[in-house]
Amino acid sequence: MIEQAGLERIHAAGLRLLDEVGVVVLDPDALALLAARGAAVEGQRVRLDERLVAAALATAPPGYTVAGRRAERDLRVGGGESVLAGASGPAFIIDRAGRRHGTLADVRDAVALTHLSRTVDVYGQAIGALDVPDERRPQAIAWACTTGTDKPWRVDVTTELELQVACDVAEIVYGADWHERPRLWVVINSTSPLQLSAEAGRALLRLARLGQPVCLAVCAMAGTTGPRTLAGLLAVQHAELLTGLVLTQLARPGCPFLYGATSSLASMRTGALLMGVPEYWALVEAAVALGHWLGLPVRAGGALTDAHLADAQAGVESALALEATLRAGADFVLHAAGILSSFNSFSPTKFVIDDELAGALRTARRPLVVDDETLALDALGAVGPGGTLLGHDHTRRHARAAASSSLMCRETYEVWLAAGGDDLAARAWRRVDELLAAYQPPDDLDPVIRRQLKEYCLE
Amino acid sequence: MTEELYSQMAQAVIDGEDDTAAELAQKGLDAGLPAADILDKGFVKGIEEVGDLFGRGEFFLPELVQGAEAMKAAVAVLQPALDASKEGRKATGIAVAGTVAGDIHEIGKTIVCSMLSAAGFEVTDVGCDVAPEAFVAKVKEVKPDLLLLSALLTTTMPNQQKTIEALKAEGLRDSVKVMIGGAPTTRAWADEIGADGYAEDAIEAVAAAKGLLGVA
Repeated sequence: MIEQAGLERIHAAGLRLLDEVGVVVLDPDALALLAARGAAVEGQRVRLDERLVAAALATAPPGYTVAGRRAERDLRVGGGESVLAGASGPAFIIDRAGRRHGTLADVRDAVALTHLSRTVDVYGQAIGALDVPDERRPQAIAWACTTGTDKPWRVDVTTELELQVACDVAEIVYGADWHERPRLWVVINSTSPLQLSAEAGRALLRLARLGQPVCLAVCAMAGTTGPRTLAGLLAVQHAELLTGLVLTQLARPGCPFLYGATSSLASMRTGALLMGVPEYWALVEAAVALGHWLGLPVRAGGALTDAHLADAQAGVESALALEATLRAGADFVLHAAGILSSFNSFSPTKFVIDDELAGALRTARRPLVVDDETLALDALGAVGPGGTLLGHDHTRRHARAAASSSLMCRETYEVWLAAGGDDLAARAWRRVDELLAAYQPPDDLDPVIRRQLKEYCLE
Repeated sequence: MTEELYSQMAQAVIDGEDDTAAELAQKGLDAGLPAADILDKGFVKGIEEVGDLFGRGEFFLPELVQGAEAMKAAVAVLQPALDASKEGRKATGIAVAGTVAGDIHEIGKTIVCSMLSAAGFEVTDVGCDVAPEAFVAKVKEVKPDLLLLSALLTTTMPNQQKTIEALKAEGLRDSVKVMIGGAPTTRAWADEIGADGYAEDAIEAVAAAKGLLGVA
């Protein structure tokens, strides 16, 4: 959908923006680092020339492994399967009672659903705990995540406190040498067009210096904080991402950098960000192509929708977005499960539906195995014209391989009607209730570490 | 001839032509027309038409923003004459708007400012990352009817509360209606922090602002 020549022009346009317009970098250390390495700095505006970009592209790795709590929880980003993380960042939860601000109890449930998910690899921070005071919130979240699942989880690093807690918790759980391996899942946002806030710059430098993978995510909005036309939107996104790339590589050459592309349309009626639009699916494909062409792993896409319910709109938009995401080969996917209302709300029912969706897409994308066994010529020969394969051993051997689902209706009409005639949302609620009832937290944390963590987080 | 000029002024706003609007404003003054008439019979007619077209779904935000910019350009030319005259400008209301401390997200607030301007408000946009003290100083200076506070992050939402507290500390809370907005905010949050109004998007913001001031 985008030709190589188009990618090259967008890259050239990004370089031109960096050289002619520049980026405002509000963190003084980041500014100083860029100035020291030859960038042209005037006040807080930095202009980068392409040699800095080329040098950064030469050292940034095409992939990296993030160490988990145990080897089985290590995750490889780049060059293989897409790593999936759930909804990330919503302040709101939409449940049976409607929409409200999230609480710590909601966080625990979202962590539980992630722990039990068949497809989600990383807890994305599905919901904020707005009932916890600001100065205790990162610690409460860290406790809920670390004790609620042994899967990795994304950590917020916007404020100084959050950044500090992220490092302190990593040290408690992994030891004083925790940063000798990539351990943290972090997403930092730029502020389009062409700005890096003080918090973003500070977090980026601190984490890069610790060798922690930095995902810089750009969310330029077409028509407001970025050009209305998609190529221009990709160009401004690209310029901001290249700035983040250069900063991470200057801070620590070889630091993993994840090219984060979440730019999409703004509503020309309200100015609001629209994530369910088909233009976004095209932007995902283009961003992945651009990042991969430059040798960078890419974060893009997700099961995204502008719907406020796990309804048909949510299903259609999420499925098409996630399908485009996996087909494009995004290396890391945030919002792969549970998000509604563009980026604003978490929904437990949507989470379980999206979990099914991701599983279904993975099934659909499995390479077709063509060999003697799967060609089944012996079975066909034995059964002959007009016969049935049903009683043959071959069928029995392979009958259970197809993915089964208790969420999607596969019954006949009358059976479905007699069982209540319900829709997907109702079945999803039952699934959520069953999962939360059956959930057991993991018990793999060393008791000494657990006690230290408890003291740090809760006392 | 005068009607023709007023009609051109309206059109300059509809077309979003700020240079033309400024020229026409000057032309009107040079022709001896009262500044208040130039505004009300010329440019305001244009911005009202822009608002109607927006409401009908024929115009969108780009036309609205450009129309507001053209109005601003015309008003800048007319301001000295308006100040000198007895009536001044009959604005729908006077508003100060900004994004709170620690937050550099501006676009939502900028769109609200444009829409308020288009609805006839005199709007002072104080930008982003605005400390409570700076908002207080601006309220003292401008004496607005409305103060609008925007926050995009859950970590900066508390500064909406701090700004309201700062107004109270200076004895200014009752002198101004405070509205809040931004993606993570809610009506319940607005109530909790003692704001007077809340809106989920820019269109609702204009309606809410008018409601708070008791204007149509």
